Amino acid sequence: MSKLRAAAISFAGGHPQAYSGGLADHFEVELVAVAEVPGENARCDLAEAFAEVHGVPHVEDYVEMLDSFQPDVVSLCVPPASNAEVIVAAAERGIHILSEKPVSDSLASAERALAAVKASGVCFSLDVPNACFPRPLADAQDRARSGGIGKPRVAYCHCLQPKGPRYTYTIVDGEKVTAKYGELPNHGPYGFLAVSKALGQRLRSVFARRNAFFYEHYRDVGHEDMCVATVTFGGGAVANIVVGRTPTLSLPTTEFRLEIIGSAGSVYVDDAMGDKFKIWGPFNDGKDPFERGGLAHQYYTPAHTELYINDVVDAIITGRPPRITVDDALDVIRFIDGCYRSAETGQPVFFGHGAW
Amino acid sequence: MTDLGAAVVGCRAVAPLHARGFVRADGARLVAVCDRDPEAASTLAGEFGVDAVTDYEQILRRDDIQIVSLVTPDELHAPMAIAAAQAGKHVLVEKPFAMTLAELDTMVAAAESAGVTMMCAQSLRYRPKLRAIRDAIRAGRIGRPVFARMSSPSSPFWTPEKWAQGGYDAKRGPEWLLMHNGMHQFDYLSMLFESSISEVYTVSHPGQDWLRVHEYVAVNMQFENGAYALSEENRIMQPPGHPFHCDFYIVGTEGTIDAGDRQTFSVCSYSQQGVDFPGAHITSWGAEEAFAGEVQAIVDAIRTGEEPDIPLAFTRQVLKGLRAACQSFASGRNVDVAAFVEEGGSIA
Repeated sequence: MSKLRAAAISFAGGHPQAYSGGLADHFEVELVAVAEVPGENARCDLAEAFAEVHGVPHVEDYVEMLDSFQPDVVSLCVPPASNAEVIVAAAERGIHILSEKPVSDSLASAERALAAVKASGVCFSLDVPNACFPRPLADAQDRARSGGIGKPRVAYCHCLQPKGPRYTYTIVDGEKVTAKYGELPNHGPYGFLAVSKALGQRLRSVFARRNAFFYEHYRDVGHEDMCVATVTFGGGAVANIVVGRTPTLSLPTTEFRLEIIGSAGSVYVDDAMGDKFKIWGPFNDGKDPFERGGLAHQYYTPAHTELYINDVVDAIITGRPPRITVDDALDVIRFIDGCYRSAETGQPVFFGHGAW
Repeated sequence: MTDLGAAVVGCRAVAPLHARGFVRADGARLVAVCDRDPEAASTLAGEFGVDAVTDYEQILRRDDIQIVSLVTPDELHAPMAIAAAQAGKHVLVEKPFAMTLAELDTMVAAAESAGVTMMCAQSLRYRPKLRAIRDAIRAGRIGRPVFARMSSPSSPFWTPEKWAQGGYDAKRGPEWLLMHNGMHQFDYLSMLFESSISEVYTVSHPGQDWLRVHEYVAVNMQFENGAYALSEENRIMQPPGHPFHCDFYIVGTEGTIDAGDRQTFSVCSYSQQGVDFPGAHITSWGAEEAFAGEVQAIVDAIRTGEEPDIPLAFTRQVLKGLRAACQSFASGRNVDVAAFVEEGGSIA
């Protein structure tokens, strides 16, 4: 079977070396072209360098590249403001998509883009590997979602990264420009997806508070460095999710914790537990709560990115859904949007997906 | 000053811990216990070698009793505390202290009129581990605390079957777990943040399908000083051997404290300087220490004439936050505590 023909689009957002580079390096993939999204944020310098390293052409306009090279799959590291239009362009051409988070900087355009993805039937996945690919976390999510602890009822997750401040501005034509968002779109997808993949339930409502507790940089531009969200799901589960960037340098790279309590047991994962997660239930009578997950659950290791790309490539080849689906991406952007709207109005924001 | 004579009223649940608190207290002695159920009264009395009384009026008439500790059902706190104050007795009242702010105001007025000391029993404050956390924060170990997650996922006094069999479930509203137990965390977090709760948003999960009382309640709260907290009361079914007791995670402007029961060290402090373990020696929640602490606090206040550790004005503010959270439970809306108005004492 021939390799998947891939293209990398934009080097102005996210982590192109990890995702576009990772996709290009996959043994089932052949990189055929690199392109930028024209505009003030374009990083043609980085795109050209990436193209040169991989020995492929660099095209200034991504639309021209899509039409002339007709790749099977694209990796998008596009700034949020332009991402939706690129997703639509790829989907309409039947091209599979790996997209950096967030899908867009507005819920409406994200919903339009993801509707286009669904209509086209292409494979779409979101670059949030640490939310559901570290093995102990993935195994815990799978156990919870598949009935291993009965029906999931209550969840808690925190995902707090030190080493701030970051992302409070971007560089445009050599000038500092205030970024549109704070840490919520950056870390929110991790906390939300970690929970939702364990529950196997769709987002129903969000209530959130946000603030700049730790960094003047964030305070000065009105962005949050921390967000506390209370979420309900269509299947009846309730979750509390805390994300942000604290100044506690002695914590691990990302302080992560997930607990799910179900009708017949519970699972618990955190960074301090290495290659284990804990699970309690009538099946083990509480005597041996540890189960091996396979790999140390540490954030931002190449292994998780590799697992993510392997998953998407396999999904494209076999036609099965990827682990992070288009519906997950839709709920992620709704979660982020809901958090901002709730924090502004001081009241919960409701979406569809069941009622109780 | 001679030791204060004390009576514990209500002989079930945490009553033995109250009784032991008076036995251990400096400046007080346990002289009687009281319960309408003669068997419950005599069992507890026998354990401590004190009088067993079944008539509360008799307790109030006795001259050798200066303080009563009310461990009675929530709805009886107000009438019994008011009667005690009117009889000139000092009163330690189990949480939630009162069912409504109107009740609390009447209780406070009765205490002030009689010149007696009244205090809400908040054993959580006096638990060794939580005192170590408070001390670490007061010492500035993590800078200014800005976020806390406090979760109490189990209790030896709670099983769904027990509450159903006792008829409690039929009598209580779905918010009862919050009303009955939530006051502990509301009090502790208000004390820790040194601020009043300004807004509350409550969500819940019913847990058992056949139980009226919801078994999980979470309150997302904002404090006047800007800090946030998640306060969870969780009695969702726990499997055998499940070790969860309490999780407590506090983020400050300069560090983090992780004090969950799953920590190898009981209280872990992370800061710019590294990791230390200010509560490493504390391996249990120390229930007996906690109740002894609250008993000693009111005994000291009575003997010195000073305001107790937990002033009634503070308890009123805490109860107001709790009542607002109950309203949020019912309405599904975020509630501004300052603007909260109790409607007829009922949130149903």
